[in-house]
Amino acid sequence: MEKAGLQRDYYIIIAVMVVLPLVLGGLKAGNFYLHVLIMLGIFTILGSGINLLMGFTGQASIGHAAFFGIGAYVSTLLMIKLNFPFWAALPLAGAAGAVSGLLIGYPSLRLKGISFAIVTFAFGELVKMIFVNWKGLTNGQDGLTDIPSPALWGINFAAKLPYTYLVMIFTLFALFLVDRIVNSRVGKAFISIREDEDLAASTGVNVMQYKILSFVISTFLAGIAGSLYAHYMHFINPADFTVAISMTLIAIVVIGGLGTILGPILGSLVLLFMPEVLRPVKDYYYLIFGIILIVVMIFAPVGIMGGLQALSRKKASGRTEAVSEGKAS
Amino acid sequence: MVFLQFLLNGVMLGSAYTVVALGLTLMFSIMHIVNFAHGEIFMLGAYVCWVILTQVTGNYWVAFLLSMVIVFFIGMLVERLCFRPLYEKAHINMFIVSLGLVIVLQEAATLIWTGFGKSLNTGYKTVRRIGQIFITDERLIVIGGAVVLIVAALLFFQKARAGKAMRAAAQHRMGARMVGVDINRVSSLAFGVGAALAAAAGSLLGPLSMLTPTMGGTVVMKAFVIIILGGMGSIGGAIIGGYVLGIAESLFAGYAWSEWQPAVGFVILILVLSLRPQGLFGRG
Repeated sequence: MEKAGLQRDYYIIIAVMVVLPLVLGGLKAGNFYLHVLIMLGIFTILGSGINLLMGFTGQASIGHAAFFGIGAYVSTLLMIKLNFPFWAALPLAGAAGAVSGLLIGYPSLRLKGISFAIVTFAFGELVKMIFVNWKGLTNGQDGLTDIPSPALWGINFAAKLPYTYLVMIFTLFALFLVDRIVNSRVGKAFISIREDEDLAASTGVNVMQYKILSFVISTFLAGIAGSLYAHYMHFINPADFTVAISMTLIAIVVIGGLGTILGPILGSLVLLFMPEVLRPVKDYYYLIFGIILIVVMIFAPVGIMGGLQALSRKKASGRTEAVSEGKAS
Repeated sequence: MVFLQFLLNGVMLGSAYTVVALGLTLMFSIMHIVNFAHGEIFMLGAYVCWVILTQVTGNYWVAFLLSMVIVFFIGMLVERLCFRPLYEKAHINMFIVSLGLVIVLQEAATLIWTGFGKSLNTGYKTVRRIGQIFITDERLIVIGGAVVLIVAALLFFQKARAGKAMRAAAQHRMGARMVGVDINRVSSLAFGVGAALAAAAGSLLGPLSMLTPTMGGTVVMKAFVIIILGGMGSIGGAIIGGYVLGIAESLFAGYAWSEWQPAVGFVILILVLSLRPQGLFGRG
């Protein structure tokens, strides 16, 4: 991952994020496109966290919807029951995600292998059970309704356009955070763990500490995404945070490209536009999504981004060849 | 005597969980597949049994055996198409493929059989009284059927040529290959056997509740808890772990809060990982 290339990409991404909501919001079906953008942002934040954990550190969490849900419920309850402002509830939702990640990660990340994945899965079930059974707090299956919008300087965040920009800011934050980490010493440690845990340990990397750090960052991002989701939908219930959602998130990251910064955006785009593209066969759309996941993993494990990178490398090498030929003649 | 009633129920659940966990541990120890779709294979077994029972023959035992055979071949096909290309790659790739299979199998089942529950009616509804406790024939069949399958699997691993080849492959893939074990054949057979065991468990447990496309999710989690509790790759551990979990869940649901029953598995998981991470019978 060349640094210069990514920094150039940043300006493009920022420009797109500033302009796109304005353009799309002005179209005839503007609100629909803004809705897609908001969901795209939320999925990208979630996906970036999972990508840091799975794509860069090599650890699979299949209970990420639980942390997403914890963020959503914590943020909502703080606002509804304790009258916290959104701007306090959102970071606390992230913190709640991080703390629960720490509690779960500590016993389960000590070992190599699958116990971590199993624990996250079991935790996902447990959290859903709490959402369903702790009726006094969560209102059970019926969920929480009338979740308020954020308020700041008289901006109406109940409208789609301001909320889109709010989500875009956090999306950018997530992408930036993951990129910075991956290109730092910490990121090198993550990648060394992904490649070979024993080897990493033998070169002095504190494997468990770094695995926990990677996991906590990803659950923190999931908590933030949960808060953004709750105050956008104004309604949450346990069905929003099931294992199926966790699987979908993994699929997004894999299809977009494991271990690539922009992969989660592309994967989310695929997820959000598949229902549109496959409208004639809409009953089959989730089935096709699963098949794509398997096919990508077998034939193109770096996903769409991997394909794009291979293409651009080919183009670049073609160009140098042309240059050297020119020199020879 | 309510205790004995709960205990018997726990033994019944534990028997079925053990059968599922045996297949899972088989796939893990030989191919290093963390097969998350094992619960969906369990679900498939129950549905295939239901289809045969309602459309082809009214005999539960014929349907039970045919379902095992059909799912055995489906398992071999899945191994060939989805997992064999990935044996030399990072293990996480196979794990992700198994998640894809979860989605595919659940969706396919929903498309074919709809999301509405189907009831697998064996006809064995008679209630028996043994001393102070009551049990239906259906539940006795779960215990008896599972014990027969467990014993058969143990004999297979100890005595049969193919079973010995599997144990050799589990100990050392390369070493087994060097002494002439056809590793591809063994892998395919191991996946088939594991799938058939899951299918059998599906046909056994299916009659106790409704069949739904998502019925495998909780079962696969329990099976994973069992093999972590027993020690990864330990067959004896899987058997003991299965009964421990089944009985613990049943007693907890009976004496404490039934709606929190699934939490038992989670608590056991965290305790094992904190206190004895290699599992009760793991090699560390």
